[in-house]
Amino acid sequence: MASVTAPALASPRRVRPDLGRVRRPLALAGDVRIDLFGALFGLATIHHELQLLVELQLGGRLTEYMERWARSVPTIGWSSQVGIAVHVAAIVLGILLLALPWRRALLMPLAVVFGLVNLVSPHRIPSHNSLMLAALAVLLVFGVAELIARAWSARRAADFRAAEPGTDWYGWTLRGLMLLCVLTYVAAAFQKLNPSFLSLATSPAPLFLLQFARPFGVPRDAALALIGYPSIHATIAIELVLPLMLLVRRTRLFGCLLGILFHLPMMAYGIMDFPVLIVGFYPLFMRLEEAESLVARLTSRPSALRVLSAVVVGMNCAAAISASPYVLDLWIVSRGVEPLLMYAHGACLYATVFLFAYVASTLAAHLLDRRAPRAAVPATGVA
Amino acid sequence: MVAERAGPSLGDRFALATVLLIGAAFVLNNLAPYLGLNYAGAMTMFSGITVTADNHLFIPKVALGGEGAYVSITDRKAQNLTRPMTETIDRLLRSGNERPQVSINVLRYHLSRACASSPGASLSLTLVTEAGQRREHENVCAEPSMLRYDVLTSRRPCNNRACTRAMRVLRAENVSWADEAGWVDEGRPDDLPPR
Repeated sequence: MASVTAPALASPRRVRPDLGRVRRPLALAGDVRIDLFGALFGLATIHHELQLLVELQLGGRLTEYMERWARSVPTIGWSSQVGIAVHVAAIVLGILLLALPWRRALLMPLAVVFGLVNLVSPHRIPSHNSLMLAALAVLLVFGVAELIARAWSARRAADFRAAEPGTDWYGWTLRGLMLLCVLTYVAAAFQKLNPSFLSLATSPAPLFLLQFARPFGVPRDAALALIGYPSIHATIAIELVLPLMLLVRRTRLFGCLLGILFHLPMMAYGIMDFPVLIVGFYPLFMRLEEAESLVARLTSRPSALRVLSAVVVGMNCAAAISASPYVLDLWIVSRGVEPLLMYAHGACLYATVFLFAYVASTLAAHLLDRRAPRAAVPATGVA
Repeated sequence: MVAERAGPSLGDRFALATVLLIGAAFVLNNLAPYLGLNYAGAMTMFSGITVTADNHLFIPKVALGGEGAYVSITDRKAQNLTRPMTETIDRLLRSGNERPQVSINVLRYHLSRACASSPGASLSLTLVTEAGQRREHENVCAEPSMLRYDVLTSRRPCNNRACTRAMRVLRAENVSWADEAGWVDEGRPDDLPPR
């Protein structure tokens, strides 16, 4: 199936060269792209759960949250103990996704668990839940299909692992997930086409940038006058342009950097689940060589400049988190505080923002290094 | 060596259909607010969209379903309801000096509980929608459509502060914490007011 991503999917069934040493449960095809996606999906799941549980504490203790909410809004009728068990199961799967290499396999049971999470979250269904469920549905359906196809052909082969599944289920998984990422950005831009978002007085867009002006003592009104309308229009423009940049090879890495920088302000406000989730889709657009090269860069010893830039960006974001009205209300106003939950929530917030600051600085360095050799080549049209 | 196929395999067709189906469901979920249908997790976070989804520049609100309605109870006559359920309905009738504007789905949930609270329960209601339309129900306990509700929804339960306060009282939460946490309105940070 021809597409602009055809080069990216030229070898979708390539497995890691160490397949013989790293056992891949269920013999599902995969490579570093789905590993990166799975790890970030796991991190997003942890943030989603921690944020939800901390919010639920606002009105009272967690041990009775389902019964408490059932007095005001429709619920599934399950007990709080069942609800907490489901949330804990999601967190455990999120941690396993971070720690273990069998990410495509682990995402399949998460599809079931996360479906249940929606039933035990009576206070709200966040916007990104539909994206998570849709992505998990793609992973589950195609994962099961691949297993069935392998089992079918293994009846003729001596070894299950050597059996060919026929259809490129992993390639279809990548395509399905990429489509969901594109639809997410388009839908998000589409929903913002209303007077409330486009008006300086009521738009939430400048809010996320104003938090960075606060530490420098810039008066709010002055900052708002400067960044207000640009932030409003840039938000919609970036959400429309970003999918295109990710799809086109020449702009892909710059699109990844732009996307991370675009989502950093929301992270700095203390809302981590959606930004981490959507950035997790970015590696899926890359060619395998691009992803492997980027991972090698991320895991290599960083230069002093890269570390410095990551620290500066991270510190700015961390300062914004510590002053975020949303985060402060969660930690201070709650009536049913579970200390372990608060510590975990805080630690995850700060750790994640520094991680993304580091990734952003690495991407920037990667892009600059890619441009530098080209600048020395004579203008013959050959890259 | 795999023989060349004339066209896409059955597996490819199934995969394409699955991707398109999931994508279509995602798109429909995001259009549902404007169609008056139930939805869960549309990409409306920080979008500025109103709770009734009637302020989009290009998409008019089309009431295919009645799920987007917010109503106030202006009058009620209850018979054979338990006292707690009568108090719940009264809490939704008035909160302070204002009438709560509650989601029709949430109202149906409470009506279902009220009608099931004791045999022979009867409840007559007069409702007014946010558009000012008046609806009278002689006995909601005899109307199955008024007793059906959705558990999974992203629609906000309330359209005004009176309803929010009423909900918190029903949950036996101290309303003062909500005043301290100015961003909170039924636990949704998605539509933060500028601060």
